[in-house]
Amino acid sequence: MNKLDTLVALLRHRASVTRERTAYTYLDDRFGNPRPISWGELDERARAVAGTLLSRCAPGDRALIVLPSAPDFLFAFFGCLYAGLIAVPAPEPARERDIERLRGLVASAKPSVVIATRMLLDAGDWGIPGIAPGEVSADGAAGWSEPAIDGATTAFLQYTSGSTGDPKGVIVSHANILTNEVMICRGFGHDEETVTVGWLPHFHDMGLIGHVLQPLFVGMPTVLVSPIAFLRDPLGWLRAISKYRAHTSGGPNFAYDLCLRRHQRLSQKLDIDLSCWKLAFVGAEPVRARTMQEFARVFGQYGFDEGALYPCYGLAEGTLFVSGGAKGVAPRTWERKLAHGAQSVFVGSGKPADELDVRIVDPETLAPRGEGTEGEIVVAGPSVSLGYWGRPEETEATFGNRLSGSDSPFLRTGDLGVLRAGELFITGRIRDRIILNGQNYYPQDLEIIAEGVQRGVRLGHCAAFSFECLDAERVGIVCEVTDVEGSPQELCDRIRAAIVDAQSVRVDTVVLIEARTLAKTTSGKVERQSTKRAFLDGSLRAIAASSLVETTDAWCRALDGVRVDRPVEPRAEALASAE
Amino acid sequence: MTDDQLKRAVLDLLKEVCGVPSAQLTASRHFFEYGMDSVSAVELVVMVEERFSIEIPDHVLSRFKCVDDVVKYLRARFDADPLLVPAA
Repeated sequence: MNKLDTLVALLRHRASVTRERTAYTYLDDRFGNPRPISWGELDERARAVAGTLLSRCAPGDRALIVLPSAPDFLFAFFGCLYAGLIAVPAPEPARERDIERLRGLVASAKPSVVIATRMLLDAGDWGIPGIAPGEVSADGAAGWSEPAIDGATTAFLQYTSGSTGDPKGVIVSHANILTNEVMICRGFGHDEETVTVGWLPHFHDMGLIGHVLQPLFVGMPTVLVSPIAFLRDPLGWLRAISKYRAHTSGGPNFAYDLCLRRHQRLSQKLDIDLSCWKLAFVGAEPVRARTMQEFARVFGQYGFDEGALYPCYGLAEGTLFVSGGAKGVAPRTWERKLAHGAQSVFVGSGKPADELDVRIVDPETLAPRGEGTEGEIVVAGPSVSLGYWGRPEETEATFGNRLSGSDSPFLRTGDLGVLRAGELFITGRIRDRIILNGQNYYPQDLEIIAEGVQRGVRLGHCAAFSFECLDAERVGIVCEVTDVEGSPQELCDRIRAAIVDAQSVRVDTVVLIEARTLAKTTSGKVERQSTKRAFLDGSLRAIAASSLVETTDAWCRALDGVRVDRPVEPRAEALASAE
Repeated sequence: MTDDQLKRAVLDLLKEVCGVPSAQLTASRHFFEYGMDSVSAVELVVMVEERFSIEIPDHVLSRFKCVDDVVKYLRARFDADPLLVPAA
């Protein structure tokens, strides 16, 4: 008797029982020209890809997949699973930074094959055999046989963690995925008739677990479009939800903001009906109360119900989903005064899934913290990954934490939170990761660039971090300098320009400080969080600082009290005089 | 349309997206220095598409770093296909 304990068994089941039913429908970049894919076609294509892969790889090998979010990605991904390989999805490189990151991924995962477009394969020296989607022979399908896998087998590696120079691949097993899909299905209220519309990238955990694998798990139809299509025409997303009468769709907070901005510029109302949209999930970055309230208010005129908003919390190390709102209930908020005087409104991320043990602990001692007290969020349960690929020390430190009174190992999320009457509120981050528009960025990547701008910027003496200001996430960087060549103000600008150029990250505030004043641990490691605190409470020994036009007010507030030994020119004046 | 007119038209669109007063906008400065990010940069390019009735391929969308880049691209497209050039 075949248990449906792997994604392969599940897809084979769907292809056998509902062969002709449409599983995924892809729209083009203008949200038109629907291209339906049935369970039967997906199974056939997966078998063909598996056949081609097995002529070059052995089960357990890794296969790197670098393809756009389109049908070929599905065929490649399931093809890998059908061959008993471990899939490693990665975004197509658009900039230098992305190419470097891909190299890091290859060095870490050591794939034996890469599946990408012929153009990308020819563009560089990969060092491993490459297969383009068009080069897969259909003959492989017939000779295919089930791989020897079970729930414990690794299905794919998720490389969304870690800096460019040090990427960490989260090991995700079939069992991790299936247990997480159960949680999502329950929270979202899905069944075989549920329609989903999605634009999230397939290489990102929310897109992969949510839009590619949840539909397979439930057997429900999904309409997909590329992320670029969404960015070009955010309201097209809403039109698609209306047209296909979607029940479920969502994205990071910025996606809802984008819709609000676009809608504001319209000269006439949209011709849409959003009353079908019962589950508008929001995740991957902090959920903002103002965005949720505005979205409900503005799109209420099209039948959108505030109760559809469903804030979630999760992380790749937990496969994806950890907690989610209450379906049909508007997001709950909680106001709190922060250390440096600002007021913050937190949006609840709902109750953790039943199968998970989620606790709040002291980040230093891991001792439990009580109801309503902030601490680090730790998680145990069947959807928590077993670790990082090839990184035993980091795996032990992140995934192997023992708490008194429990036999299970706990995952340290690096996120700060509070449990109030069973609801989880995310309040901050311990780890240094920066999140902008749902994407992860790592301070090390920004610091290395700043250090390379000029010899006066001391190597290993920079600290980058994100901070909250004017209801948005800002990036700040503090650099120790000695013997600055030229004006310190110009150096601030050059540091900002260099980071924008290399990482496409906007640094709102650059602060240059005296040498030997940056907070460091006894072993010489830069303490980013302490530096951030000093930045916010004004105790940095600044030589110069620069902030962007848009955030001038915010900068004044944030740097209120910073001792600046030389006068700082407000950005606006500097710009005006440059012309 | 001269390059200068092109530049002014794109600067107008930039102002709409980032909200910075015209007097402070420069064609050579990176969009991000005006408080924009990769999402609003795509917004700007889509507005350029609408304004000039031109289709810009996806892989080029995210490559523009400043107004000068956009003007250079538009000039190249117009030179290649004179029928594309909008009336000034």
